[in-house]
Amino acid sequence: MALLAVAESKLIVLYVEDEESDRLFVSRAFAKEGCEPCLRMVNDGRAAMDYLSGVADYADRERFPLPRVVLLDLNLPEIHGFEVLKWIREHPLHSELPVVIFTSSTRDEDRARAQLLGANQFVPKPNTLAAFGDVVRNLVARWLSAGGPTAPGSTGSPGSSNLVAD
Amino acid sequence: MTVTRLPGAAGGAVVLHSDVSERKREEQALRQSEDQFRAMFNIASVGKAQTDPVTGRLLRVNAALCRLTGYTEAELLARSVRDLTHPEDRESDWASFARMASGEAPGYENEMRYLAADGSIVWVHVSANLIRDEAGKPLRTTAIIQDITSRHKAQAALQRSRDRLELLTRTMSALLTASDPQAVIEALCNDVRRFLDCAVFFNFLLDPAKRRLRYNACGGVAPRVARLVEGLELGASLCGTAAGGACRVVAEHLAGSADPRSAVVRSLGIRAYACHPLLGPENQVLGTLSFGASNRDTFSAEDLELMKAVTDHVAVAMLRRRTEQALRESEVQFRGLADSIPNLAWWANADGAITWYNRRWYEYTGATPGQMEGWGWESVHDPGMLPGVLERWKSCLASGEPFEMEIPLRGADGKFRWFLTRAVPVRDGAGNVLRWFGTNTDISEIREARMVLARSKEQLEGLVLERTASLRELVEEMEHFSYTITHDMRAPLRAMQGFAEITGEALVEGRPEEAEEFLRRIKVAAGRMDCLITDALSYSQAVRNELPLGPVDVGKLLRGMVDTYPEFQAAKARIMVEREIPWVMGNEAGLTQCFSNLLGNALKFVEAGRTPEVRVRADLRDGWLRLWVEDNGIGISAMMLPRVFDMFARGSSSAAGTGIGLALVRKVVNRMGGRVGVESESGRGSRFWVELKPAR
Repeated sequence: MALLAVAESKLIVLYVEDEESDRLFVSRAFAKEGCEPCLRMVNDGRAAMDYLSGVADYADRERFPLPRVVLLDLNLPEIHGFEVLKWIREHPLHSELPVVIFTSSTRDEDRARAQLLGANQFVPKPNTLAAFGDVVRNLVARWLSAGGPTAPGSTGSPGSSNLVAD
Repeated sequence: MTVTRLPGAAGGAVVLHSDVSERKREEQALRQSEDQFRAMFNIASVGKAQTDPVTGRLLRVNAALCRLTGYTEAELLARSVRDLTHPEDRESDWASFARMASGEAPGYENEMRYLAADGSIVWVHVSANLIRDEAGKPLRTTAIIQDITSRHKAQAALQRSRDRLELLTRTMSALLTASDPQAVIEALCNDVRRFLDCAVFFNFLLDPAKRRLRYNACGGVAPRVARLVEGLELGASLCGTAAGGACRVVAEHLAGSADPRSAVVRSLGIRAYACHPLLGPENQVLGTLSFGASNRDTFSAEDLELMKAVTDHVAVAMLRRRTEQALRESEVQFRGLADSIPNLAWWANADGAITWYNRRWYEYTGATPGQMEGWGWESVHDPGMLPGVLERWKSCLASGEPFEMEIPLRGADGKFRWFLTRAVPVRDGAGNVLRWFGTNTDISEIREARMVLARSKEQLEGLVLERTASLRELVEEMEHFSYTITHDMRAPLRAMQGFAEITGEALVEGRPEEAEEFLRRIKVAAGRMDCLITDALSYSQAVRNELPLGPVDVGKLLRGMVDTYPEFQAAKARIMVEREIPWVMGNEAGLTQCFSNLLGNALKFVEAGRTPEVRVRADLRDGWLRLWVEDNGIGISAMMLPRVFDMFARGSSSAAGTGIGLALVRKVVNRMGGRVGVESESGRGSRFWVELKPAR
């Protein structure tokens, strides 16, 4: 199966989320799609930076491979999602890393700010499990499938117009 | 001519005979001379007379003298010169005659009156000489008498017209120069009355509204009589008729009249009466002036002419008096008004020198009229302002434009007050500026009020801006708050929905233990939701509710909270409240809200397995009372520290807090006029503080 192949070739999604329930719903949706191995999750912005920088536990790239895309919540404790996005865009190695904002915010300011800071996509958090499944399927198809962008740097420049709410 | 028969020229033609005796010749010569004399005496056109030097008896008269006196020769020869002379001239003439007769004077000349046979007066010029005999003894007098009546009449007429003219001139000048013509009218009219040889004069004024005459002056009669006319209708008296018709009324031969209009004057024995209306420039009737004579039945044209002239003069004077009176009244009114107003007021002449100030000016400036004369007003001006004032004033004087300027003037107390100074030109009919009327209105208070108003307006605007800004801030904060709170509420909702679905799945798939676990999670989410709603309500109340300040025993408040709040009762927690905590100015409900949050946080954010320890103490610094809440918890990272009081800024996973608590603390403390702060390091506990004013 193609999706399995994706997982095997370390096509990883890094999901940054402090809400335990949301983490559960997203991981369930990945599991249902059969690509649970592609998902790595961290609880907050600090952990996301650590993961991407490969410090401490995250130095083990076998267990924590660099992601193909970051799924980023905004309302994070201590370090806000936008801070994390900014940090990624300013990072010499990860500035081209696709970032999908995943939030329950529907505010235009948040959407505009995300675009300004170079997010690639803006996805509102859904309310039903079925909808979580749709979000995950679209995410995988768009960012992890063989036909989609396969490498960092080929995903279109940050802040480009493919920032859409799917 | 008979003169050709006179001797002299023909004398040489007389032939003298020698046989005539000497005496005869002498007689003849004498007779001849006598004849010649007689002829000459008789034919003279002037009167001639020979008189006895002692008795004055007429010895010889000629025809001319008979014609002149109206007597026959015989009648004259029976009289003396004294008899012929008018009684009033008799003595003075006789004295001259006597001097001549006694030889004191060789002769005399005199102008005098003779009484003619018919009793009339004949003015004569007499030229008399004394004739003596060979012995030098006075023999007789001879006189030449010329009739000079017509010359004398002409002279008298001339004199009278001169007198009349003089009277008129005197009348006019007296009326014009009198400060009160009314006072001289009576005297002048009496002069005229006497000049006209009249018995009475009346002067009435017309009251146009009542159509009645009013007594003003009279002469030769008691005013009581004149007042009789006041009660009459205009048509019922002679003067009333003149006033009513604006025309002259002349009534003559009154003695036999039955006209009721002349009843009053007839009762005074007046025989001729003339009344002239006093006319104004538009022929309006001011009154009447009338003269009445009791010694004659008619007036001459000259009399009437004089009366008219005098009447006209009186009318002019009365008009002038009325105008002056009106002026004086308006001047009195003006001064009264000008002195009663609170403004300073003045008149300046056309070149800008001030000629009059009202009473207020002197009261305010404390100056004397002498100091203020002309340009003396400059002395009460601020020397710094004066050049500008003068420039404006002079430019207005030149252009005739009204003057208006706010100027400080020095008062009697030496202090300056501000005045709105206005001056308007008063012009004559041709538009030339005659003078300026000026006022100074004290506007110090208005200026002060204006300044206060401007200041308070400025302050108000600043306040409005400030309030608007803080209101906008508040609105933004509330918008942010309500947005975020609804956003944050979605998370537990989403959790509840998701877990409910999973629970359903688990039950369908026969995993009841799993379902139970998810139901528990739904309860947790619901609890979180409740916390959010509670905090949100507390916060919005803290923003909205009034927080009246008063002295609060905050130590007692804290100890009460520790003893009664269940969450602070946990056996493993230790909360110590320092004993001596001073009272603060605050609001009890607000303080309770603050400390329940701070204490709650202190107990909540502690490393697992560690006994939470909280200490509350007080600290007085710079007039502020600082209340410390110190814990031994996990502390706050340097990154989080600046945002710890911000709304929804959370230091840990959302499970642990709503992100509202500290924002609420700051809001409440700010609203009590205080400040909040925190000192902390990760892993080393936190020291939160609240600063308020100590209660006095």
